[in-house]
Amino acid sequence: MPLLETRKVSKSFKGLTALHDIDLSVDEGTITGLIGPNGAGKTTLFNLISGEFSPTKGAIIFDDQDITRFSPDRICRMGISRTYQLVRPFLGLTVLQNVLVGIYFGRKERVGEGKAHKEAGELIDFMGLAEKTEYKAIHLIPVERKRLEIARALATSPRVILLDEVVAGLNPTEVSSIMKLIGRIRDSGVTILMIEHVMKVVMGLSHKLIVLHHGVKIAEGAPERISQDSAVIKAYLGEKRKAKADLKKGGGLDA
Amino acid sequence: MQFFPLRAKILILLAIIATVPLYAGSYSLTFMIILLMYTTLAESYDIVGGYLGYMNMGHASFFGVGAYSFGLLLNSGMALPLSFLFTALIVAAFALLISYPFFRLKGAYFALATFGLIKLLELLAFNLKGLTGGSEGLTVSSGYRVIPVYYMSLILCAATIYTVYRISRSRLGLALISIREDEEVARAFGVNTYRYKAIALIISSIFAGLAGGIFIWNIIFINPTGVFGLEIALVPIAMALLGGSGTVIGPVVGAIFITLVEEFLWTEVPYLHLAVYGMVIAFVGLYMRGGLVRTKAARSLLNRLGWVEE
Amino acid sequence: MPASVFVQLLIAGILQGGVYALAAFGLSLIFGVSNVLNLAHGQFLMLGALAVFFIFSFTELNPFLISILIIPLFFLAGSLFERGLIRRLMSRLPHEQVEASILVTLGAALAIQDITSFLWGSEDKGISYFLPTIHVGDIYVSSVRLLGLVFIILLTVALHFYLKKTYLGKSIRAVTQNRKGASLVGINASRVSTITFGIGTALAALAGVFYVILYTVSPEIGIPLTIKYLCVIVLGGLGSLYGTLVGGTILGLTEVFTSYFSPHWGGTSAYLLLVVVLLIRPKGLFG
Repeated sequence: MPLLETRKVSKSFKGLTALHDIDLSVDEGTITGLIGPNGAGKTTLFNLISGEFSPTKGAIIFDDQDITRFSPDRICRMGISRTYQLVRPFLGLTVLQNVLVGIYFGRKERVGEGKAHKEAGELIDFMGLAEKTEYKAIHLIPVERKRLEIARALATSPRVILLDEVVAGLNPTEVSSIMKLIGRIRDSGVTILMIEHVMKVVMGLSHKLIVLHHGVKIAEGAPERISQDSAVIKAYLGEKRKAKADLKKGGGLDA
Repeated sequence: MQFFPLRAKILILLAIIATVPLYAGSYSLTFMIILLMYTTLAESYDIVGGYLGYMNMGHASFFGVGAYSFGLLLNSGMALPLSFLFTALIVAAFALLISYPFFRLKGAYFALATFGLIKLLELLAFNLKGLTGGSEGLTVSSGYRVIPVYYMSLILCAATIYTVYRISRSRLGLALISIREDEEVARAFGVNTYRYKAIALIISSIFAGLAGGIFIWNIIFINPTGVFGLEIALVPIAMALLGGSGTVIGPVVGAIFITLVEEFLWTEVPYLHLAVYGMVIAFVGLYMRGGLVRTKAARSLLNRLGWVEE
Repeated sequence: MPASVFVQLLIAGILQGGVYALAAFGLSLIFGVSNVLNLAHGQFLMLGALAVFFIFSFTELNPFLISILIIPLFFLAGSLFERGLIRRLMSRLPHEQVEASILVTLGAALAIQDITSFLWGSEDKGISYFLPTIHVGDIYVSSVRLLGLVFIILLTVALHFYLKKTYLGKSIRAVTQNRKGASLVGINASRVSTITFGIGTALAALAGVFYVILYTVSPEIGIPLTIKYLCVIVLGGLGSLYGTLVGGTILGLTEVFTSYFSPHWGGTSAYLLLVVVLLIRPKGLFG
């Protein structure tokens, strides 16, 4: 039984169809990559799962429960948390406060003050932000903000974490360290669904890939198989040659 | 100064203020009562305006509803303490009622809609003549009450400030400021925004409503323009902004500052005192980013006194 | 309601609405470009009205003509206001900017009101400007009102073309939509802010002429009127000039018609309308 599923999910905005008939399933403890050219509808799918808005059609099932019309705060407390493509930390709040929000409000159970602060400290340490604990988020550099974003998402003790282009804009060293981090998160038992354009990351970490294009799922399967899939190649080639080169670099396409 | 812990300093200050009636004349007492009332209004406004980040221009509506409710309850024969209790309940219910529809609005929309609410209540007060006495107003039994009113005002004001202090260090406070920073994201991380916004509004309303109750008990007679007017609506908000919105003592400092400035201008400057008043406000807005309490001078003074602020 | 009364009310309502729209237009432009709600806006209207009164009492010129002549003066005043008081707030964080602009514009409004009161006295001032009344059958219409209506329509059309066709007009629209983007394509957003403030202030002063002809003016009208114009732009939807036009017109009509039935309700109908509309459409009619 997959932990998270979408069944025939569609979303239209005033006549424009962003997603059509998406069937997606994510098994517990796995890392699933959601890829596809820009505008394919990936972030929209994330927004549907996290409850920002409701699908026009279809259902979203989490842990055997239909969460399709649940509010975002409820979905979070049930165990799904997320990061944003353009990070959205609480800028006026400190790193500690950002994480505490996740701990106090994002979990199913109520956490006492002492325990909350202890766990916040541990999480902040884990993310390498210990020195900046009392800094306001607005004073962090981009990569630190990304770490904070992930820390906050982890603070809610999620069962599933939705990572939206979490390595975008980072240099290779930073990308590698985030990749290690994602591995450690998976090792701790958290299921990961990630949107990513950087092929190295998504190929290297995912158990399974799901490919979206123009709002429709065009392929699903193991990374090695997907990189050979002609529909996928066409979708990426149709967009940019660089994407094809990325696929190659990621250990995908044969020359 | 550093020898005493902060708590002791505050208690000493309170004790000093509590003994004022022993040596102050009627004028000074009235002055203090007005100051305490405005401080309560500014501080309670800031729960929603500063911490939650929703500029509630209609805060005075709670004041007016409180004043009328208290007057009516008192006139119906209810005892004083019970009247205060029920005033608080009525105002809280009113706040709960308006929270869901009005909190769907944001920014300037919210500000003006809540302001419009005051005008509508004023109209209602004019028209429900049977209940409110219309333009003839509402009267309660008379009596010389300056001393009890002084102590009530002091207790209410202290309670308001203490409540805001506790909120600022609590989970509720964290929820509010997370909503202020980014409401959508706060929701995504488990904050039940509807609930917390309503709670903030209700708490904010109770203090304003009780201030309204004390007000009518003090001046015996109120009419719609008196409790739903521009001055009582806008001045507390200006005080909170000027002193430092989103801090515990910002609104207090703002209230004291504006009241003192007003008093000074009224007695020392015969003409153009509204103009000077306006220029002072504009000056603070221009040169004191974040209000009086956030200036370097204020911060260092507060640090030396032992008060840590944002 | 007899037809003649209805037509009279209709014209009065459209005129009233037009005046609101004209006065609020400047506020809307300023908000769109600088993101500031200028609480001193009504003061400039009041000053414009007083200026017309003053000049009229010396020259007996057509008040509408006078109002056009004073445009440059108020354009300058608005520009200086922006340069001196508003410009330095632009670099602050959004919510700091909002707080500061409230304090600054409110303080300025109070100062302007009081200084004017001091210099001019606070009695009501008005111009009695009479033109023959026009009548069609049973319907009597004041030609002053008709002239006013024409004046506003012409102004609105002029504004419309200005914003659509001229470089500056397009710059204003660009900055309103996306300040950063506009500066990236070479538009000097700061200059546009200053100029827009000037234009907005001039429009407020222009609207003042109606107040001095149709009603009376005193230094105290500034702040209550500003609040009303804020209602207009919020009703129409912040940032939408078209919304301001529609909002103002609807408001004017509502006020005139409700005042006919009950003067008491007339004054408050603006707020009732605002609250009702916002509860249905949280971002105003066109926001």
